[in-house]
Amino acid sequence: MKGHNTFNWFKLILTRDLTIAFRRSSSYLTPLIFFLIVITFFPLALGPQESLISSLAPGVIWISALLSSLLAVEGIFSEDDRDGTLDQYFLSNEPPFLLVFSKVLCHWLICGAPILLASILGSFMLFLPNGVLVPLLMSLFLGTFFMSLLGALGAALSLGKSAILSTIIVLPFSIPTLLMGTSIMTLAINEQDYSGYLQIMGAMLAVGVPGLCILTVEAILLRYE
Amino acid sequence: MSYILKAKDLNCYRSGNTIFQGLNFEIDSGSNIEVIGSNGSGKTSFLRILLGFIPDYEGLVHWSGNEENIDVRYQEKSCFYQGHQTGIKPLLSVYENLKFSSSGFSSSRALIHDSAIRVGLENHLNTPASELSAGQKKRIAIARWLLKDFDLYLVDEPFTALDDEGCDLIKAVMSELNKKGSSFLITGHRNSLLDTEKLILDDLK
Repeated sequence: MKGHNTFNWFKLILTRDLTIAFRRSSSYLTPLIFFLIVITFFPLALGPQESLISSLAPGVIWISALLSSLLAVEGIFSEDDRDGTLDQYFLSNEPPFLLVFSKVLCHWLICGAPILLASILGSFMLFLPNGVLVPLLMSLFLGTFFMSLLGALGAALSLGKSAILSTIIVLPFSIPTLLMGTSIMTLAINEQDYSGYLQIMGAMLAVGVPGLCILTVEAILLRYE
Repeated sequence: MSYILKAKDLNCYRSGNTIFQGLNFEIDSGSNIEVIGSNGSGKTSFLRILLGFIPDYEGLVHWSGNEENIDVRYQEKSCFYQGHQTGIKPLLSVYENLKFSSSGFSSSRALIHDSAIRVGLENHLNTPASELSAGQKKRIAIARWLLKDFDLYLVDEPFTALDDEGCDLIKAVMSELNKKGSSFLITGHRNSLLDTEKLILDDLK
């Protein structure tokens, strides 16, 4: 019975946060539009040389995906913190770990998932060769989810402080994701085996989900020290 | 009668200043205490100390049912806390605000309807909270008290922004919950309309 209630609780916070996010359209449109603008501007700036653009494409897609998934990061906890909801969560005797995970999942759904879809369009605009789309989507899925986890940690650490702080905290930790993501793309373009990198990214996510969520809970609790 | 929560020789400090000292109190089930003090006398700090949100204090805080010497943060408490910020989401409707409130996570539709009727918001169930007045938002907050039975309700200044009718509503809801054995610890600036035991923080400087 207790387990059922806890799952129900998780489902309700997620539904609540998604409902709020969909009513405030800027929350999911801003990262998406930012991503699309960067992707569109690159070919415009570089000129119509197909080979040049396609060789730069992995880096362009990855950098814009990482940056746009950081756009909405500081809002992950700040609103609940300001209006007192966070206090009520911490008194509700439900595991705070699940609260953090639902926040991360919600951030990925409104930020990472649209970028994933937009990257399909991006792969055509940047002349990525056929057959690269699958590794692109797989690595972007793992990478953006990891970014949402890191973003939640940054947001928790910067609660009540300046918003730019969360981005500065998170950016250095996104470098491994960026390196592996672009390597996967380069290997896939050269038709080489990229599964090793994909496995490392998967492993990072598998460790990151429990590890970073627990760290985030601790970071939120610092607010009460 | 058995107590729900007690504090002994409680001293509160914030950034080096003594806010209040030597506070002793005990609250029994089914009874209310009103904490009165001027601005900055530590009303909110007092509530947050009891909840384990602030570590700047000395003394004993004990929630019934726990061992005495455990840190407040780790004591199990059945309580509802409503601060100055009530956690009402402007983009959600009245119904959604009640459904998704941390006290209402397991409430049935019927219970939510009943509590909305109780606070006079039955015609606004689908109105976004952003379109309601400050007093009506306070009423959503009151409706949340009815969603689940807690041992103790800690409410920070519930009477602000409410009309006379709203104040009567709070009194009625409180006595209704008192009958179920719940207690209230509420704060205010001045002697309010409530006929309860008072705790005057200004005397504890």
